[in-house]
Amino acid sequence: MSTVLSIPTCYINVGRSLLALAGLTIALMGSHLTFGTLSDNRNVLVSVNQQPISLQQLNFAAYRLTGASADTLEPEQKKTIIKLLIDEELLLQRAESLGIASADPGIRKALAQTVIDQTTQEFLDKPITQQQLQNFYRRHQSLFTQPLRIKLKAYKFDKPAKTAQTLEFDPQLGHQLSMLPESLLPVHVLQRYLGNRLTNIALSLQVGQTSRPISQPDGVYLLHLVAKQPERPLTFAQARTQIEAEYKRRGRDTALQKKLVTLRQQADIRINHERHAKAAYE
Amino acid sequence: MNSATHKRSLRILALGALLGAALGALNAVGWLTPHQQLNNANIATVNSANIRLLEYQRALNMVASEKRDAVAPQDRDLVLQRLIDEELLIQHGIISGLIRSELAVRTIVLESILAGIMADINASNNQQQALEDYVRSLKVSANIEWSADWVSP
Repeated sequence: MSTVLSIPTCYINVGRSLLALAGLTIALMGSHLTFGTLSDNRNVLVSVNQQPISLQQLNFAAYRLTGASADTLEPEQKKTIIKLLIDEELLLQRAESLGIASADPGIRKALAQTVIDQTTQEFLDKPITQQQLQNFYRRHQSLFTQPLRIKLKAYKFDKPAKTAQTLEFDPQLGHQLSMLPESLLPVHVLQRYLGNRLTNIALSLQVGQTSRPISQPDGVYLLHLVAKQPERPLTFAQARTQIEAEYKRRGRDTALQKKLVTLRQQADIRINHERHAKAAYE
Repeated sequence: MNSATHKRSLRILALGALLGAALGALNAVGWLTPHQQLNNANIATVNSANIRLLEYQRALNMVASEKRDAVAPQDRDLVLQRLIDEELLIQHGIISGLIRSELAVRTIVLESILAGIMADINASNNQQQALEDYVRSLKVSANIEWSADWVSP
């Protein structure tokens, strides 16, 4: 009889032990204790409020300050560097406790840039073969073209639209300077100078044609198309530098986007939608 | 242990377990985590860090200054998403320990904290001495433990 009763008791004890073990494991995981940290302990020279200063840091600081490894230094020199590292660590901890790292614009910029650099470096370190570039060129041939460029004269008048509509305009007179540089410009540059509406009108003009007066909130415009160079594809050899730059740029972007997706998935992000919507009308 | 005591113990154990499970579940869904209030001064929060409305408007103004056309709703969304991305990268950098491991970041942080300290002790006659005193005061309250292989200087 006692044997029959002891079996469930044994199971209960095993179950309790497993639960206790599971709890201990979760607690250890929660404490961020890693075996790496334990194995690194042999390199720790000193810990400042549980923050280790390692032999590697000493060597790095020794190189930075003296240009030589810590092994080659006198004990007194080593002690001085370690004291400096302790002082720095105390100041870093003070900065952390004051929240300087997340508040100082300069530090924020440096942190963001360093994370971006580290994220993209892995991709950039990989060598790029000629074959990869050729494949990329074939897949994105439309990117490697010399874009449509136009030479345009644009004149702005402060007169009201009514007056400007009756204005006899002769670009040869040159009585007013054009707002644009005297060169062929791609569309995206024109858009920066003129905005979308005026650019679209300019693109609809024939070479030598002058637009009708165009009324805009800030004045009246006249556009005169001087020359137009159509879009033309570049060969692989012509676009080699551009192809490599674009290949790297896209690779960097992809690596960064992946990183941001991961960070977003792990983050708690809340948007003040009401304020965001209101801001649209302010 | 008599039967009544045993039953009471089991009830307490069960109650404790239930309470623990409930608290764990609440924590898991984020009910117990304190969140920054999304008041009108903030446009968003990222892991409890605020993105201020002023910051958002400043970024928006920068975009507007580079555009001839009016800022579109897509521009506003893009600006907000970029600010969120920036905050995520910064938080990741801090958690990754870049403040210590990256010399460039470490230097800027040290310069910033030192500038703050120097501003505080600016009135002092001997700034070097005042700075040393400040670091000494930090040392006094710190727990500094030396490895067995090294002797405290």
